[in-house]
Amino acid sequence: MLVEIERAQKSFPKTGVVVRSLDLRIPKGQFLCLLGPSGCGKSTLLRMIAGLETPDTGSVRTSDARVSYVFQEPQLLPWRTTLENVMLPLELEGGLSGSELRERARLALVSVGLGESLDKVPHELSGGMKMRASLARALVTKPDLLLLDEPFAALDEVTRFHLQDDLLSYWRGFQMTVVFVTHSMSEAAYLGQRQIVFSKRPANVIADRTTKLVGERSFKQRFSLEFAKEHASEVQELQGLFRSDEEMN
Amino acid sequence: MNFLLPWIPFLALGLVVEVLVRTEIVPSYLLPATSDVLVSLVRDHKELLGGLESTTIAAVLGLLLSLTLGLFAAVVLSLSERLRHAFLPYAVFFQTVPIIALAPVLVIWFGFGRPTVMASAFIVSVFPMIANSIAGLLAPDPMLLDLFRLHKASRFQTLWKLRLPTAMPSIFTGLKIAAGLAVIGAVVGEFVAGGGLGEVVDAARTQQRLDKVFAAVLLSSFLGLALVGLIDLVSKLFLRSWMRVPK
Repeated sequence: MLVEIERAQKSFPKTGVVVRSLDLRIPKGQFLCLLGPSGCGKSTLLRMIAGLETPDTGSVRTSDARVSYVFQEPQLLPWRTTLENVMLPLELEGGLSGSELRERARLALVSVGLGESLDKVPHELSGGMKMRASLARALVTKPDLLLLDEPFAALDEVTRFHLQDDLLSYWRGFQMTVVFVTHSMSEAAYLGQRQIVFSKRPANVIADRTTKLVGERSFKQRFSLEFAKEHASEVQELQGLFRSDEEMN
Repeated sequence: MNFLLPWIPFLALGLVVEVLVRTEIVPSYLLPATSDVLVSLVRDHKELLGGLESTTIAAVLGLLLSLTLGLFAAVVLSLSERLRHAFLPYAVFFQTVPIIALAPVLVIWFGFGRPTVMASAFIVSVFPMIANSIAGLLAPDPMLLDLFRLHKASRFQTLWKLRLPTAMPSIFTGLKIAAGLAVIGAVVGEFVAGGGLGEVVDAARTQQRLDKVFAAVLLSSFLGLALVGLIDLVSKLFLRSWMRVPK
């Protein structure tokens, strides 16, 4: 297991209990989607996995994994070029020479398709390119565990589709574990090997399921009738889980 | 064209004053005629320029002191909320202190001459420097602070690579406000400690030379404007190139 969460509970003074006595185990190499309504505590859970929050009670263990985090917005530093932005995590962690830093950052940018934009500054990049740069910044440290918090929510649909497919290929290429927070059932059904459905706040697991979608995803396949049908039935199942939760309350 | 617009009210006011004094609606011992001020600017130029030079040096040195000490104080205070709670009220003291009342004490401490004038310029200009710098240093997006924490950035790295660059626009804003105040502080200091335009004003006043008083006041205003304008220009060039922030 790469991540082991046992009876983790977290509350904040203003919002009260955000995550209630939560158990979750994430095996190495899994692509996991955390799905739930906005403000349900998914992000807090993600931040606990990242070590940015500590649980009030219970425990969160990540067995010394290298962790990278992608935020809702690209969060690039406007005074740095794209290359310098991607170099940042390596700079902070130290131990590499200047030329090594540059080369690793350049390779990461090439792998996300930004090899031509190394010296551009963030305000010269489109929304999709900024998010790609943000992904490159997360991948440059070769993480074991990549955490993403609704990274594509603000992008237009076609860009989002491309980035979803690319993310899946990075996941395979880098052989990492991915935890992807989203409130989009369609996105969770498309991306996740495993989907965990959360209740409204305080977050608790109402369903933990494995996808029935098989095979590699691609932009073209997404629009094939057969795949679209299977995808739709996955979304329907996820929606059913949400509805039963609402009826219970 | 827009560059010329501010000069229109200035010239109009000069004209109105000239007419009012020449027609003796306002007596010349209360207000000097514009032309007399201009004549004084030419005739007394040696004394005035000497004063301007001295005031400029003292104001700029006081401002540099504000920049370095103010920025240093801001960096220290930005490190901890407890420190801010403990010390920020004393920084406010610098904003509210009536410099005109404190200036004689400065003379006792630093003697007559430049050190007192510099101290006076520093005291009135340091608060906006501290306040604006702290605001800027605390401005980074919490997510970016998380990113730095996640990659185990040291305090110094967070300061140097995130907080200071984020604060640059605020630091320049503080410096701009401080520049105007430093000139005021310097002239007030010179009233009591001597030297510069402040002394010219004080001496001319006792000689009933209102034209010279106004000539000196005019020069000190221009000095303030020039300093603020210069910093504005530098900040625009700096923010556009080094910070790469779009206009």
